[in-house]
Amino acid sequence: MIELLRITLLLYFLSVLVALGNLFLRRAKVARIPPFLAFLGFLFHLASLAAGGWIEGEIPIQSLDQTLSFLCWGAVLVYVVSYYRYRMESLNLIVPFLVLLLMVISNLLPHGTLAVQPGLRNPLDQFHIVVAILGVSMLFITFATSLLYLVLDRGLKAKRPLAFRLGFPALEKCERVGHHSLVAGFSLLTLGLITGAVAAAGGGDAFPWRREGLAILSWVILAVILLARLARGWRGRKAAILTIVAFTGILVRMLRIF
Amino acid sequence: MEILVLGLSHHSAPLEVRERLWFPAASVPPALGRLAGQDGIREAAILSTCNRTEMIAVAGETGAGFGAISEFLNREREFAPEQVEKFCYRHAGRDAVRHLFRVASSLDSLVVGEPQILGQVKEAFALSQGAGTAGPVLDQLFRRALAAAKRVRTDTGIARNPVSISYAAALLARQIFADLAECSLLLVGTGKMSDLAARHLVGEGVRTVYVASRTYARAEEMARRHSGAPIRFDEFFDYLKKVDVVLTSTAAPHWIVKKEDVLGLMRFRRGRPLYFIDIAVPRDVEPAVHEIDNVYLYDLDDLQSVVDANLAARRGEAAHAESILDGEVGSFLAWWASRDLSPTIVAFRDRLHGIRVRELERFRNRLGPLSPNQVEVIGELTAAIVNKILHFPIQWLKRSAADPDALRSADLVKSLFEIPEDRPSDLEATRKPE
Repeated sequence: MIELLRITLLLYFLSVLVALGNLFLRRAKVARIPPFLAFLGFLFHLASLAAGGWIEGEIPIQSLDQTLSFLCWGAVLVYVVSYYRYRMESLNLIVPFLVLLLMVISNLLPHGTLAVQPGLRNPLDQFHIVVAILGVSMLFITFATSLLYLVLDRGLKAKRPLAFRLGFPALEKCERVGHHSLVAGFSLLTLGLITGAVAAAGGGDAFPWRREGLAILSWVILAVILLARLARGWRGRKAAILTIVAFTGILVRMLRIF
Repeated sequence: MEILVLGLSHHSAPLEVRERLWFPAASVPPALGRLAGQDGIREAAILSTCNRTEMIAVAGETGAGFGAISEFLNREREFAPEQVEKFCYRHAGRDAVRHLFRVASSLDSLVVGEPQILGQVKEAFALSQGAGTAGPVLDQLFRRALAAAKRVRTDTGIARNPVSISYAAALLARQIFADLAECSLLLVGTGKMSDLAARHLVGEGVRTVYVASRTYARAEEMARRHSGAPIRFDEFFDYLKKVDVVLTSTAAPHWIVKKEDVLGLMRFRRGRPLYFIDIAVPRDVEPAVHEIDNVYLYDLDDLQSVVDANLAARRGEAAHAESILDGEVGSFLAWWASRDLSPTIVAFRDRLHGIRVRELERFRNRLGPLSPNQVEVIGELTAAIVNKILHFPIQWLKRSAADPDALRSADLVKSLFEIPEDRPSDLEATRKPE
């Protein structure tokens, strides 16, 4: 299992390395390599998760390192699909890099010592976690496109457009892909939160407002962004900044830093 | 035999001198005939553009070749040898090859990476082929120069970014909008430059064009050119609510679009970006408009600085292009050297086949009565054996052609097989009695 995970990490690392190199090389053929490497990594990652689940006899989301690993796996899946759907080469750097970072963190954590929640045996509980994690995986794309949007907007506003030099996508495309991923990610996240609340209520516990405060706040920010976009077409720099803040909030909550 | 280039360009001569040496396309074929008719010139081509005129020739001897070209210029354009000395550059051998490759790749152009020169080199090649003055050497030289130029264009960023203001303005739209086919363009004012920029934008995919001008007839005319719709000048502000790109070029002495106006209309646009290209002097759009979210304003100076940055980037890419050319020039020179080797290869082949033919003759009687078919088969068999034996040393000779001392390899083969210099080949000697 460890070997599988090592190969996964190596492939993700190579993917980032090639994407970084191509930032300067700018060869169309080279740009196809990082998603391919990431996809290979994804397959090994899947095998590693499946092996972990098989050995422990449950979905590998019982501890923090497992949760992060599962989140990264989902993020790579969404990234590879988005790459082939939208052909945004700029995603090649941001998403794999973030994934690699989280994978390294999750590997540094001692396995199993940080249980996510004691007695996570309830199927609804498990469903809640899986759905929420998949939702956050999609938000990786929202985060990446928002970041790109800010960089591009800054370049255009400073009258030093970057796209000529680095082959970035159009501003509007970033915004659209970001919006699509936000709608999908937010829906899953909401489903995860609701089922989580139901599970907590079913178990006789009150909803852990204090513990989930940051997650709720991030969710509210995303809800506001989405509503304003749908109702009034609100978008642009400020929306991108708020999206990044909300995503960071969710990630911080997942890393249990706060 | 040597490849020579003698010519002048914007690097070496002022416009009035370049004008004098310019050859219009129609006058090139007869001129080529006269140039190739000069003593010592075996092949010739003339490349003449607004920025350069160059004679490319294959001559028996370097000094005499340059002399002949210089004499040609004197006769054709009364361009005295002193003027040639003053304004022209001369390249011979490797330098000449490299020069032509650099010219074709647009590395020597006034605007590095400009696309026209490739077509002009192609035309010069076609003209010399048509005039019958391009022999095997120029044929190879031009083909390889054109292939090298294409490689430079695709493998480096030398031609990637726009270096004209109107094209830069159009390509900036691509950085803002995902699909230009969904975008609409409003032209306010009908200057020549806005016409050019509109042409670029339509070329990039914009389908809907509106034209507003204080003179309605002009708006109509411009709209017709871009398959657009003319609108009345006082209507243009309403159109700002729905168009995506606005190109202003009016002669108004004051701003016709102000920040507070744009702030007001952004409510109607539901966050869609708005891109102003202001190429009017004095400017038409208040600069502060650029501060509004989702609004981008580029004036002439901004576009010029984008172009300058792109030019600098192209110069950066030139280093990469030069290294590609190193390889291409090397491969041409290897071909060139292998031509020098070809007499040796022919003599080598003849020598071995000569031995084969003689030995066959010698053993013919001892083989007894043979049918013509059998004789033919034995001939083919021995020829096949000799060819197989020849294959590897000939390949080695060709490979060694790239070395500076390729001729030493040729000497080695000559002494190994006792091939004397410049003697009638064995095969010819054996053929003679037949």
